[in-house]
Amino acid sequence: MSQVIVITSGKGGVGKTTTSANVGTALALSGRQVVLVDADIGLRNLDVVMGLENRIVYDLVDVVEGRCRLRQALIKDKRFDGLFLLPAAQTRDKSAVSPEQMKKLTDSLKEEFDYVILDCPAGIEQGFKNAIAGADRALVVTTPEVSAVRDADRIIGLLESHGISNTQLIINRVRMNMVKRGDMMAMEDVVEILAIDLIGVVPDDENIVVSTNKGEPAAAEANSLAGKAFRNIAERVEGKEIPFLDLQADSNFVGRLKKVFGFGH
Amino acid sequence: MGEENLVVFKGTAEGIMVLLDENADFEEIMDNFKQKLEQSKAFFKGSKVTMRFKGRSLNRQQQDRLLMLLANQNVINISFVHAFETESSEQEDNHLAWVKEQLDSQYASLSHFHYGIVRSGHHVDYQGNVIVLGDVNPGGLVTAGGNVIVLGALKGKAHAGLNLKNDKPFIVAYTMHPIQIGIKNSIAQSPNGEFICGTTTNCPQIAYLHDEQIYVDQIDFKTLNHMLK
Repeated sequence: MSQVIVITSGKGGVGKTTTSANVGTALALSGRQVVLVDADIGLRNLDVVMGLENRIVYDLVDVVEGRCRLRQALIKDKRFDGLFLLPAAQTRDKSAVSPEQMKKLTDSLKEEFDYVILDCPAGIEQGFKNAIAGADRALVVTTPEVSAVRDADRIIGLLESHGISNTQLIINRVRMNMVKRGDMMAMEDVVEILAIDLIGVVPDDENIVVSTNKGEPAAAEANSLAGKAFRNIAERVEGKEIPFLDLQADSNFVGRLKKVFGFGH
Repeated sequence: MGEENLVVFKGTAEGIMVLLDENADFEEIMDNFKQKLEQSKAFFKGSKVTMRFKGRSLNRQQQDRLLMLLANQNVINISFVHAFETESSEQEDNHLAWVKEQLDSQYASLSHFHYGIVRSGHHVDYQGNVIVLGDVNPGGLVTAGGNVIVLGALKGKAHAGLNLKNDKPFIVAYTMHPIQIGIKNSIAQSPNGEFICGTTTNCPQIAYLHDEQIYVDQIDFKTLNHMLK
């Protein structure tokens, strides 16, 4: 049963595109047929993050306006079996497509793929409405900041009013040491406010910046903690029960020793 | 000019209906009305009727002038003049339908129940009381003509008693951490961003108005006495 999943947040810069790229990659790694759709028309990024920018010939707007067939616009990621990208147009804006057209597009993608992952633009305007038009479920990305949580709350309300109730939460860029000091909202606080199911917590990881710039999804890197978190999210998307990562794991030797002897928390 | 049609008499089951032209000058209508009355002297002779005006909305002064005209004529013996209509009858029907619908609906009482969380950007408004079965999140707004009761945490904004006739409106919440609360014409916000409500946080709090001041306290005998004083 294939699914259309929209990845959204309301606020910009919390990691929607990174999450889309990594969750999509992780799903493809576990053998699924996945297409990543960049719904951020005019401000496309997903192709850059995936390192596929130089292979774009046709884009989403070309498909919608009938200048090419859907197949022609899909870019196959040669590194990962079963992973495709449908890029957004860069020279147009959000008004170039309508929610009805997006619904039609996702419906036809659904026939060929197990997962259609939509990278939603920031905001609640036309771009958002386009992105959620054909979605079966949503992953709401937030960071543990008051402003991001506030926007996520608004987005969850809007998703509900559009009839998307299968909504789960990803908390991105968690810095455990700051949480411990009480300088950052704890995961529990975020979940308490938003009152939806948590599907993943991604630690703040410098390597993400590096891999994003290189166009190589971190989910494919075996020893990246954030990559591991994204792979876990992908498994939970598939309905598997995976315990949450222990982000409190101290990386130094003394910390690990303390833990072994029960002095940890 | 077709002046004859500015005023039309119509016999109905409940009396005479007078249709006034919607667009013509009011003075012309008055003249035409006077003429029409004279003309129909024979017809109305000796009968007692009720009269209803229809067709155009009249301001207070125009209504008075029409009534004066009726009072000073000796053509018709008018027993009753229906209230002037300010709305068209279609609107009236809509209004009646709305009232009926409200009475049939689950909100027949003066309370509106909101099921679930009031999220950021969401506005729950009702003329009566509002009961939220869930939290009111930061950025959410609840306004009520009467009281607001939040069976959860109030972390957004709430305004009670917008219907100023309401006596002693209040806001109750299990956890009172509003960004802002308003009761009637008073608005309060906490100096440090959050209300600090007593030492216990697990008992419901009530916000009420006393001498134009908003008080927040836990619900007990003393508080209620103070509120009702």
